Amino acid sequence: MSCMDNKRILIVEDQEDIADLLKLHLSDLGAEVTIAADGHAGMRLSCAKKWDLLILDIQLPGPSGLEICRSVRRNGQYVPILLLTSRSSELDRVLGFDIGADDYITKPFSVMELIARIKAVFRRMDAIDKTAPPSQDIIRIGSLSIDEKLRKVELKNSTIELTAKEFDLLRHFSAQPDRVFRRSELLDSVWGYGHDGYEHTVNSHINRLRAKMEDDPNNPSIIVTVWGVGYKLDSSKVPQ
Amino acid sequence: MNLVHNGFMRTFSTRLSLALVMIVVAVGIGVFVSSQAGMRSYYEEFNQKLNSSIAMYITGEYQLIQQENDTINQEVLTSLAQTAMVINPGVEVYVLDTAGNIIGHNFPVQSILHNTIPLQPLLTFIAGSAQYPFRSIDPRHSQLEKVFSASEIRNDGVLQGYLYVILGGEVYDNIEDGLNNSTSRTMVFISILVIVLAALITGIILFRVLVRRLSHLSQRMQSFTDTELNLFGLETNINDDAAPKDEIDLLTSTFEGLTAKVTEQFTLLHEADNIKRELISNVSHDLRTPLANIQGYLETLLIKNSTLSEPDRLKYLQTAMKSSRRLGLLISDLFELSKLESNQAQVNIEAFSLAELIYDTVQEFQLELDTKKIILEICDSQNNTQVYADIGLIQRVFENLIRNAIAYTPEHGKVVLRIEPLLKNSNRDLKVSISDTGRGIKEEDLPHIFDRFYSNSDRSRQDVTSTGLGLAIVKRILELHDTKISVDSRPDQGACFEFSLSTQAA
Repeated sequence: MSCMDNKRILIVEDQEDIADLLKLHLSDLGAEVTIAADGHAGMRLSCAKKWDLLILDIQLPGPSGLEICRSVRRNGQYVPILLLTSRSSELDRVLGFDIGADDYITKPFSVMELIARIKAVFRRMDAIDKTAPPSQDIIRIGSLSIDEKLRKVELKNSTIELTAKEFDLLRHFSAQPDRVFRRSELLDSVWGYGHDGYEHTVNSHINRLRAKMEDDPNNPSIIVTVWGVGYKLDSSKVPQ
Repeated sequence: MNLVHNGFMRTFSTRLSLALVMIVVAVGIGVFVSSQAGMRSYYEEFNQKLNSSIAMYITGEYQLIQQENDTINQEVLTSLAQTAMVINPGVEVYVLDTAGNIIGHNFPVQSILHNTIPLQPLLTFIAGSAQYPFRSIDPRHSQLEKVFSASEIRNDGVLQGYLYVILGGEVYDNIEDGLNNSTSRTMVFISILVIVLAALITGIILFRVLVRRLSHLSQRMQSFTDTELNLFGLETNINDDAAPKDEIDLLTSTFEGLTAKVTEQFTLLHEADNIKRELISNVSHDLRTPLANIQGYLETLLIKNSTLSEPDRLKYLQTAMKSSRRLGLLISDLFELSKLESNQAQVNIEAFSLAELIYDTVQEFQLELDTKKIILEICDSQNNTQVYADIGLIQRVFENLIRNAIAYTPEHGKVVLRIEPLLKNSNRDLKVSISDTGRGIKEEDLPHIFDRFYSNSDRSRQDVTSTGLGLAIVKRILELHDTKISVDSRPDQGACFEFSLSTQAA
């Protein structure tokens, strides 16, 4: 079963060889692929129809893939976006500024890996559509309350200021308290980027979360390390 | 650095002004003094010129020496003296004999202090070759010489003696002393003073105007070094300790700071250039090898496409694929190293648990560890102390070192990661060591393993995953953290890599 049957995919890439390569493989899997060869055409086409996936190269004549990504996000309707990057400076920007893309892949890439990533994106999209909305919008553990709608966190009756990714990470822990997550799982679930070399960002974010929530960040009790396995939220240690 | 703080006294224009004051005052005093001295001399010269013939007239008019016996005609002399007193009180008359001795005068005897007058000056005067003012001894003065007039006394052509007329005698001395408050002298003094003041004021104003351009320049240089240079991310080490005293000092120190900076920048540029050149030459060599494979095998496939057996075709394609992956790894590593080595490499220091990072990084290698059945042990004697470093870069360090350890250790081997304090009783720095039971490193290779692309002398075991840059990247990352990596190894006795990290923010 191919989960790409009849999916409409727009590829914005000025390098003909790469665009053709992608089209070849995705068409084999049943998708309907359209190619735009520059930023202007890409910008136009991305708004013209409803797409199931956008694959955007960052370096383009005319508006860049990042600009197209931003404009699509502003338009409201959610379309999964995958960015192709070839320069590490672009990569830093993509990772640093949370452009809103669902995933990214660097050139040169393995075609198999790209296909796997695209399939994963579709899987996530389908899962979101099929899941019923949670009965509670607020997760409560002890005195910790996480409001998913308002994206607000309170601990011991005072609000904690968290960045978007810190919030997502805490929510992921709290949705399944006491469950141990490996670093790679967290990276995949919270960031969606399961890439080599970027895993340290999980450590950074856990650090920062601890600094904001723990009484003694050097000896954390809420978000604990399970040595050799991963991290978990210890529900028994959350202050009441 | 603000010159205003250093006070009015220290600016360049003040110094110039002070110098001007000193010079002008010195000049004024000099002029005054020399004019005073000159005045006297001028007067004497004038006097002598005017009255040079007086002696001659007198000898012509009066018979001062008796013709018969060569003695003084005292009556004539007395009458002459009285006449002279009336007409020109400053004139003092003496009659000399042919040897220069005074034989006749009209003064109290005790007031004559010199009884003999040297003849040579008289003779010079009489000959007319004297240069005025021409002075000689004043018989009534112990030291001073005066201008005089002189002539021969002849009777019927026979020289009987000389007439010696002092033109500025005692009376003059008295009056002169009394003239210390003379109007003329005061006038001269005042006019010199006025001129001096006028010159000073003009000079000071002029200097101020001229120096203003200088202070504008020095202010501009100041603001350049303080603000604009910092925009470029360059800071100068202008030495503020030697507090500049004025605009010139400021300009000098700024100039020196800037030239030092420029030299430094040129050196850095040169270095960056060298690094680039080295990179290009290394890249050129090491990229060509996998490229040669890719090209070779793909070309072969093109040429022999129809005649190739399926297994062979597969084999060639796989070789090309393997080489192309290697090329990709190489390029990534090369650019990573190049970015790290550039002078703009950024390190984001934050506090994190070193042990956590190690455990998480090791997890990624679990598959390889299991495949080769290598045991990896982590010993943390520090109970999860936090260190200050760049998480991403240190993760890379561990990845490279662990990957190497696994690659060089045979099956059923062991790798140990240890965290210990660097110094026995201090928690300030932590020492991290990775040791393996692998095949070790030869002594001659040891100093070079951190160089780029260094292949050990044992070329037969080329590891496909090794790009030759792993250790160079590790070394560079640790350099960026102000620390070094060391290695200890013997062939077949494994290798142990050590480095330290700080537990305190820089």
